[in-house]
Amino acid sequence: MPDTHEGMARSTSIRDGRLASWFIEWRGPIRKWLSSRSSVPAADLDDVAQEVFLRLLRYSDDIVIDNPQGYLFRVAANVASEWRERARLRRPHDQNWLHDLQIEPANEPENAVARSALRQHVREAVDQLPPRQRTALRLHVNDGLTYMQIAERLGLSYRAVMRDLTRAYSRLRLQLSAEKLDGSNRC
Amino acid sequence: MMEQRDRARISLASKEAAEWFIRLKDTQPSRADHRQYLSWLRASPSHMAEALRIGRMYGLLRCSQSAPNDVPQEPSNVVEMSADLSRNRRHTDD
Repeated sequence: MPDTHEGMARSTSIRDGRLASWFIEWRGPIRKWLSSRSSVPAADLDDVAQEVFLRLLRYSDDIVIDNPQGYLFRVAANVASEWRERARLRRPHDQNWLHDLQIEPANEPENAVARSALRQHVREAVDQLPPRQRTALRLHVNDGLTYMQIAERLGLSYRAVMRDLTRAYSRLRLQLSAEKLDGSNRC
Repeated sequence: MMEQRDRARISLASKEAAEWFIRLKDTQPSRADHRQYLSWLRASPSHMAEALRIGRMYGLLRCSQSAPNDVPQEPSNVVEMSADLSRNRRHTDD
C-alpha cells in the first residue's frame, strides 16, 4: 500500500511540474483570448481572424517565431478589444455614461445562466464522443497529459492518440455552432 | 452541395488546426516547427480562424470540465489533480 501511495504522489508531482510550466506559457494568452473582454459576436470571429492574418503578414518571422501560437492569441485578443472600444466610442454620448455604469458583463445574472447552460452543452457534446476519443480528450484537457503520455497510459500509438484527439476537437468544433464558440464564454 | 463542400473544408482546416495546437502544446517545438506553423497560418485566413477557434474551444472545454475522468486507473490521482487545478486557477485569478 505505501508503495502505491508513493508512486501516485510521485507521478502527481511530475505532472504538476509539467502543468506548472504549461500554465506559465499558455494560460496568459489563452485566457486573454477567452476572456469576456475579447469576446466578439459570432459573425465577427472571421473578421478578427482576417485582421490578425493581415497583421501577421506584416511582421517578420523573427518577431513571432519564439511562440507563434501565444502571439496569435494575444493579437486576436488585442484586435477584439480594440474593436469593442471603437464600437463603444462610436456610440452617442448619452449612451456612453450608461455603458460606464453597467456592471461587468460576466457578473450579470443572465450571463451566468447562459454560461452554465453553455458548459452543460459542452459537457453533453463531450459525452457523445466515441469512447476512445472522449477518454483521450479528457486526459488531454482535464488532466493536462500530453498526447504521448496518453498513448502510454492507454497502450496506444502516438499517432492513434493524435488522430483521436484531432477528431475529437474537430467534431466538437463542428458541433458547437459558431455562436456558441465565438460568443462570450468567460470562465 | 455547396454546404457540404464548406463543411468538408472546415472539417479539414479544423483538424489541421487541432493537430498544430496539440503539437505545439505537447512537445518542445523547434524553430522549424514554428516556421512550418506560420506558413500554415499564412496560407489562408480560414486557417487563422480555425486556429483561433481551437484555442477558444480548449479554454471552453477546460472551464466546462467537471465530470470525473472515465479512465479506470488511479481515480484518486484524477481527484487530486482537479483539486490542484482549481487551487491554481483561484491563485492566478486574483
